[in-house]
Amino acid sequence: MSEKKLVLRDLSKTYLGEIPSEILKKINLSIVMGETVSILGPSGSGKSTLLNIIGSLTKPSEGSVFWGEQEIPLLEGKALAKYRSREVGFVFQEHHLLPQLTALENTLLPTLVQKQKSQIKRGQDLLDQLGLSQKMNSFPWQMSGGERQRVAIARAMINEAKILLCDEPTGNLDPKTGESIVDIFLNLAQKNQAIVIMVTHNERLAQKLQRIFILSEGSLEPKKFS
Amino acid sequence: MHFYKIIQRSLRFYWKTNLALSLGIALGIAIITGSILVGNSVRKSLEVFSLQRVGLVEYALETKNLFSHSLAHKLQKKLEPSSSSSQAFVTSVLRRDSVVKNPQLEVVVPSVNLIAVEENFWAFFPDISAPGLQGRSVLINQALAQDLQAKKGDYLLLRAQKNSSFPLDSIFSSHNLSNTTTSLRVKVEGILPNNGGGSFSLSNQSGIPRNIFVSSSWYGQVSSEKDLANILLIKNPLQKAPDWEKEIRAQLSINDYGLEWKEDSGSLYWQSRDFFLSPYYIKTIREIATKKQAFCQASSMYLAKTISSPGSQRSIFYSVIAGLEEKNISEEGITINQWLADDLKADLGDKLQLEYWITRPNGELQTKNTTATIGQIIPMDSPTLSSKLVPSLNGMTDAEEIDEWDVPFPLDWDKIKDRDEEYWKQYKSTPKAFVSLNMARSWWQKKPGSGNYITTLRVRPLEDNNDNSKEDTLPFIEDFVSQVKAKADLAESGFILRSIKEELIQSSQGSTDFGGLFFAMSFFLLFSASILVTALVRLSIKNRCQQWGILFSQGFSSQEVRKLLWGENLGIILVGASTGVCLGIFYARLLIFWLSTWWKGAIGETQLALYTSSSSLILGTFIGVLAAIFSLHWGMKPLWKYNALELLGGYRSLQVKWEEKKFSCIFWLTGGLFSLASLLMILSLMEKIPAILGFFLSGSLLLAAFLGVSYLCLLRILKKNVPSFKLSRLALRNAVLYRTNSMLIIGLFACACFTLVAVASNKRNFTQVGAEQLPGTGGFSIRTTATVPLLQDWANEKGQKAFNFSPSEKELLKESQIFSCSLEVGEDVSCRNLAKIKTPNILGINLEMLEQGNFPLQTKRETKNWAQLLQNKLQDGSIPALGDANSVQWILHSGLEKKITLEIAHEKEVTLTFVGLVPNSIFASEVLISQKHFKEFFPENSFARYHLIKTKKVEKLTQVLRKRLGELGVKVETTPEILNSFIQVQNTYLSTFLTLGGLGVGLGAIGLIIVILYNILERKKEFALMLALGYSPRHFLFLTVGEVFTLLLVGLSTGVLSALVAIIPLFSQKEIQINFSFLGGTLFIVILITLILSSFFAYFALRINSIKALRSE
Repeated sequence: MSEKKLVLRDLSKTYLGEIPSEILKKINLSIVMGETVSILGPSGSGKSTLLNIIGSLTKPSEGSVFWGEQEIPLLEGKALAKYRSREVGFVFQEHHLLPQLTALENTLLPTLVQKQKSQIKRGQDLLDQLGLSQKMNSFPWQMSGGERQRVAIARAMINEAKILLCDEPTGNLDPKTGESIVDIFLNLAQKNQAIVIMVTHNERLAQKLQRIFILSEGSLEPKKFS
Repeated sequence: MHFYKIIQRSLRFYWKTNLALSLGIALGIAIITGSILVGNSVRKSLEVFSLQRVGLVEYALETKNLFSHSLAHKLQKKLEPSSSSSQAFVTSVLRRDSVVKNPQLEVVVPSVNLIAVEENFWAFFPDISAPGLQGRSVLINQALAQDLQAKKGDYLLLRAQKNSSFPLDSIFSSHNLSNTTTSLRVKVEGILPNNGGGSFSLSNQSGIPRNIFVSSSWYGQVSSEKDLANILLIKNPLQKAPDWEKEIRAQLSINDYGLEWKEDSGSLYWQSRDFFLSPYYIKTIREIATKKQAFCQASSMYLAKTISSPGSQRSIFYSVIAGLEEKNISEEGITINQWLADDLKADLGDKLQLEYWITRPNGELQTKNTTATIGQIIPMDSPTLSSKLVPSLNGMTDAEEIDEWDVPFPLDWDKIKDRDEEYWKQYKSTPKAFVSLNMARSWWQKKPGSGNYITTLRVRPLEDNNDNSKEDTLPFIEDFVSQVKAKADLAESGFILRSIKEELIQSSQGSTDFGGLFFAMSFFLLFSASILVTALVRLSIKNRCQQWGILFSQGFSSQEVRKLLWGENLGIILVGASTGVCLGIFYARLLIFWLSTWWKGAIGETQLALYTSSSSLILGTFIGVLAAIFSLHWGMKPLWKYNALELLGGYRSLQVKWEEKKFSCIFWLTGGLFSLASLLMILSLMEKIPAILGFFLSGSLLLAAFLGVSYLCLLRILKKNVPSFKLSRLALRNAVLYRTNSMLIIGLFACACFTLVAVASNKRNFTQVGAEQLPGTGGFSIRTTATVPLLQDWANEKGQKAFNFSPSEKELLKESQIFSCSLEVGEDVSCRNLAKIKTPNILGINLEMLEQGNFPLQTKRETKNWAQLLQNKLQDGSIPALGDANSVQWILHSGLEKKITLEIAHEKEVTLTFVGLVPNSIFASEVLISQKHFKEFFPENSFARYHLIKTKKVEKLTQVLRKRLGELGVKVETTPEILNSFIQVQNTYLSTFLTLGGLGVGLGAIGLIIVILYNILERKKEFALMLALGYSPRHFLFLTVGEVFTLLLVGLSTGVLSALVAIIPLFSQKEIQINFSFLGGTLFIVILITLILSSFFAYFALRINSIKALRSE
């Protein structure tokens, strides 16, 4: 059986406004399972937009995204919800935890949808692996920034998602903490043979991943190492 | 983890917002539940009060005539022979209209119920331990005691109506008050509370009757109505309830039915206590006579002032004559007895002139003449001649001599000769002459086919035309009498058997739906609560929008997110509903308190108490929950327009998406509203549509248009790229950011101000204005209403003499225009009466009076001629009627050209069609029909009890009338006073509306403050940053207070401006009282409180740890 691939084909995104702006221009990319990819680029270059399109949070203006045979932008309703909950794990820069839920409950949030079996043990294991065994019953406002980000990582991985999207996951953290979190994250991802796409400004972090791309002026180019 | 856990956590975490939402929902449910409870309480209070005042009475037999107390004794004895007085289940009562005066204070109270009771009356009111009434001791109820300012031991003067045996408009009816009323001096033995038997009344009218209770035995003696009653009260005995109608019929004697019979020389003479035999009994007696093959002959007695023979130039005076059903008497013929023939020296074929009196409508006697040709002279021993032909006439037939006659018509004693006295001694009232029945009918002024005029039916066995002894005809008589009794009809004899409890319960349902009324009046409170809920939901949604974005991004579908949201809402609703029910009871209690005190004008004397029922609470909760669900749904609506990414970006990114699309829609809609408003104003100015309607509609449209303009301005500010940065712009920007809430608040204040101004402007006070300036008075200044029929019309000279008007007072009356009308007292049809109307007051209107008056008449008919409108029955057989526009619409639930079927005096049903309405008139308590139709329904009530007067000397004439007529129970009121008493109810409703509207404005202000507080707390980071940048506390005050002030100002000015347009037509109406100080004061207080509280909260927001706020998430 051939491995599932994530393919971006002639992907373009234009923001309409008084002056339309084409933020992504015919991006083509193919990523196989287990590959880790980082995307570098200046602010406003469209890195988050690219991740959002892959994560089905927004749609491209032209082109498409394929996950295996599935064309992601065409998904709607339950199929879309299933893709988001089962296939994709999103780690945001601002972690976006629900303040009224504990760390464990935030981790288990994706498992509530579509009548999935309870994954409490898995959640506890994930938090344990992320060094949060003492914080399972703490609320987000009782945790530091790094701890919250680790909870977000656990949430992204609870359903053994095959595509892990990280948008500046260490943006709000100090470099040391950031690095350790990325290491844990990549380790866990590798165990699941998940695709990892990470958007970052940090070249040092980017180099921990297998492939590095630069997104500039709408185009995605592999980074040339000098 | 389960969904319910998220719901539970969210409810607890966002407890402040959820609590505010619950309170908003609770408020809405409280208003709805409270309104329903008030409506039920008013109905129930009416019911309880009505039932309390009849005690244990279940049935009542009422009659216009009188029956013996023995009827009650016989019934009691038959059904419960061993019961004591305290166990009585039947008692009889004599009720009379009366007037009572406190002579020490010169206070007169008309319309008092005199209730003459037997001892066992109090068995029907076990909660009253009334002292035994003896002699002139009386009990009065609290309401009467207060009106009279009387206490126990005081002496009062009482004048009560007496029954008259004669038709009031006949020459035989005494108009002397001492003959027609009973005047007594009584002593107050005790004062009964208003609840229960003290307010005993069988009337359906709400309000507390004024009652005075006397001993029936004593009253019977002093009033010459001994042993007589007109009401039988019944409660079911301990065993199974009998068929009361059957039992009563079995115990009623022939006399109780109002029939009397006399025997003379083998003939049976049937007469009525009402003087005239009713068509039913005439028909019944004739039928029995036919069956028994007996002779039956009708006669109608009268009195001739003179009978003259022009031939012999002889005359005799004051002779009893009769119309006789006799084929030998031609229409112009006359049969005389031998005595008269001898007196007049007249013979067959001679013409005789008869002079007789008739009574004019104003009570004056008019002499009329007729000529007849002698067709027969009968001997004195003829069986036709009998004094029994003439019914008993007190003061005449019981006199031994003509000299002893005590009669109401004038006698010239000099004209009475010895021979006349001789006739009287020998033959008493035996008629001297007989004419045709038709001629007799004309003397009684009865038209063919209408009105009773037969006074006697003579019955004799046919087989024997000779005189027989009583013994011979006794079996015939006994059998005849028993057959008549068997066929005697309760209703035909004027008896009405009423199922009292059932009737009172039905009428207490009332004609005014207080529940609906208070719901409508509480509309602004409800609207404010809904706005509060919606505003809070929207704020909550926006502030938690990132959460919804997280859920969507984690794979939650729309349905699953809705499930979570509605799960939270369910918790909020449950808390809100349970709180709301408790608050609703409190709100209802508060409304009941206000209705019983400040707003007493709306309910009159009805005693209110709060009655809660589970069905009311459930219904109120159900409706409130539905309203809450709608508000929550509407509040959450924006959420579904955004995708996950937009939601994740936070509320500040949720801005421009759909406003641009709507901008042009709202632009064109606003333009359309302005155009329509302008068109309506033009049409009103051109009088194409009623001015009040036109301006009110245009004002309302202007309100909507101005709100549209406000919204467009907000959108415009949002869209515009503002190059310079000013603090005022920042304040405005926040209003724009929360523009839906801003519009909700502007809209709420605008609508509240519009209502306050428009409603407050409709308060009227007529006493500041002269009658001639009030269309509803028709130009008449004074009205008098007699609560006890006076039997003399004070409008004419004879009456003025009888009532001792001085010459100067008579002159004053001569300078005025006085119009008399007939009045049949029933139930007040105005909004002062809360009970359902069955038998209304009916006014027999004087058409000349209507023509002289300039009442504004609303009619769909082509003619505006009063006589044409009212005189004749309509093609469908209904009777044309007029009414006050408000009474017809709101109390009788009818309208122009609509029919209504009413009971007349608890008996006949009659269908009326309102061919005309008079707006805001003095006729609000009555239904008006022509005098002609009035006489058909109430033939015995032809005396004027109602007068309208046009005069320039209003104050002086009012004083004179009160002085001369007040003690006789005549109510004298100026027409502006009358209009004021009606408008008091309307003004009270307006005050109620204003108070509740004011509460709504207050609640809107609270909503505004909560929204501002929410804003301030939510923007802590923003303020902390500004503080860190060097902004001072006064800048924040400017930001928050400035925003509040702007919203308030826009809302208030929009509302006031639109309302001023709406009330343009009212500025020309002099009786309009626009209480600018009240309005200005209310609005000023609202603005002030709102500004103070928002300043307080702004100050509160400043007391924050900047660093903590900057660092916090």
